[in-house]
Amino acid sequence: MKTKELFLLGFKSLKFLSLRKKIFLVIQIVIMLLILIPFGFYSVFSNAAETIINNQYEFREISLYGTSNDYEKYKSVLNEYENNHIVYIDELATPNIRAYTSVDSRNNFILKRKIEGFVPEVTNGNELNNKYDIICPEMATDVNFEELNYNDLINLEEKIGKTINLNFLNSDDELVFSQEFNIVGTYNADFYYSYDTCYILNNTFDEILSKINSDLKEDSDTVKDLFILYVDNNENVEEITNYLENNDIMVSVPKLDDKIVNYILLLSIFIMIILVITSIIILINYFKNYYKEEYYNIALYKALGFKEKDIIKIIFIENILLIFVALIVSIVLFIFLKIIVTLYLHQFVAFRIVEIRLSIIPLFIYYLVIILLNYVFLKIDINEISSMSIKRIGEL
Amino acid sequence: MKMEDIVKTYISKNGNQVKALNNINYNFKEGKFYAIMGQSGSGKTTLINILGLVDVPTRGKYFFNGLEVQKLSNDKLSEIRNNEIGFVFQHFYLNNRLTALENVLLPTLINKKHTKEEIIENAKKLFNNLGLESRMNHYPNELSGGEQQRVSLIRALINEPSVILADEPTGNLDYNNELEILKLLKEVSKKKCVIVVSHNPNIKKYADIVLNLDKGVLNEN
Repeated sequence: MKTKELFLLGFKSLKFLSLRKKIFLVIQIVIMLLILIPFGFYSVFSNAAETIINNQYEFREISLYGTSNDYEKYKSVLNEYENNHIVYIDELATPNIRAYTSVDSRNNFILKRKIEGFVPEVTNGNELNNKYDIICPEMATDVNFEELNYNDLINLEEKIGKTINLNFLNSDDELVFSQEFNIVGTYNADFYYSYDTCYILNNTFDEILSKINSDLKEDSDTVKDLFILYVDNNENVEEITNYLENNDIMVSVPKLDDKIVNYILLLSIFIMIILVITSIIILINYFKNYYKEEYYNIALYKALGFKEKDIIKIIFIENILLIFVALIVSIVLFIFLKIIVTLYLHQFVAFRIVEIRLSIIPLFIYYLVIILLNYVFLKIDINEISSMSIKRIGEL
Repeated sequence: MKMEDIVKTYISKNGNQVKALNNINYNFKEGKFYAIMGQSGSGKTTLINILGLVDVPTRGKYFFNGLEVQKLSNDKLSEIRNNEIGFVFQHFYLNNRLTALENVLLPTLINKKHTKEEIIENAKKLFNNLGLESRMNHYPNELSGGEQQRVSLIRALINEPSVILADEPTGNLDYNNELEILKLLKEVSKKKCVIVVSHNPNIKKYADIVLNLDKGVLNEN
């Protein structure tokens, strides 16, 4: 019997499904959907986790804290310590400056130094060159993050080439001076969750800092950050921290929490195992009893002179096509779900990086397992099918 | 189709032996319409199963076109069934997923006697001859009982078999359709061996030979 004819017979069988087959189809769609969801959504969380682990700069900033009396000692240790992984030492220990867009309101950007390896890639425009150049987020905000909605972000990409006026206040919240900056470039703040952070040249930063800190009084007993070390890579932080602590320097480093990724992965795997076991039980039950529903057709095929191998092929292909339909439907439903969830998550600013992936490979592995089960059970049951059909022909 | 000392015994659930066929000796020939009459439980279905090569006797020999059936493999029996035997059933047994034409063409999927074009042309001729040319593309549930049985008969004839086996072919038909089917079977029997198993006495008028099956014993009237 030709393969084309087998498939045509199989397609015909899909047009008229018994209740049992419809239930089986729905169960398969649900199982396949539940395979796609953990793999698809895992990528959302792994993206977010990757952002935290790899891109958040504060995890590569080592703060050396103490009183003013410790300053010289720390400086001496740092001068003797040769480590190429330290990209920059901030002796003023001031990682950022608030730049107010309006004196009256509290709206402000955060200005940071341009330290190589600590500045995001400029996606539009140019790098910093001149004293009052500034790089801003493509979509930016100067309001409190907790009240922020994605729609509130300002598009600064459109303002490349234009200027922005920023105000600098002292510790008493008094205006010290204002300065116009040229927006020369923008970066994608999504992966850094830094919609309020802009970058300027190191010298410019020091200059502003000296102006706004000039009236600060020294307090020798206050514990504060004395230095900030910028490290090129997360992996090198521990070595440097250990060295400093061994030299009686108090250090502070924000801790990474990458366990969440592992928990999500473990949970996904656990769900997967449960699903696979459940589906195999359902499938075994379905395939074992398939012939009971189909015995009239099997008996008819026998009466018409179909050989056992032909009958096995017909049943096999009917089932494969049925489950293929479930495969397609589950993929389509997953895509709909992906669109809806992505639209929802995009309301939350940080989730602009949401990318729910369609993982075809696990689905096809499951499909292949079903094909194998189908074939195995047909071979096991063929004797029963044959003997049943002989009796059934008599009853036809 | 020659039967020699055919015995068919079943073992019931409580272990008792039930003799469905008891020493049957008969030779069925081409060009004859045989009616096998008998009440329920007389062994008619068992006999049809053995004649149709879907069951084997417990004892005895059965020769189909000179071949001893017990010595043939399952695949060979299937091949003979496809090429030489056409079944007509009481409940028609058409595949509801296929149109009338597709049902008729089903046995031809594994038959290599003719090309596809020849088969379709032959099928259409048969549909025309039986007055069903306008019903070819209808599904069985869109056909009347008589139309379904005629489609079933066309399916039985499509591979040009030498034998037609009909088990209560008129059991589900009204009187007019019954007569029409019997006439068609009579027409077919001019060139083939037609064996109809039934307890309907009307069949006797069309049969060339009437046989009685009673408690597994076959006798000619």
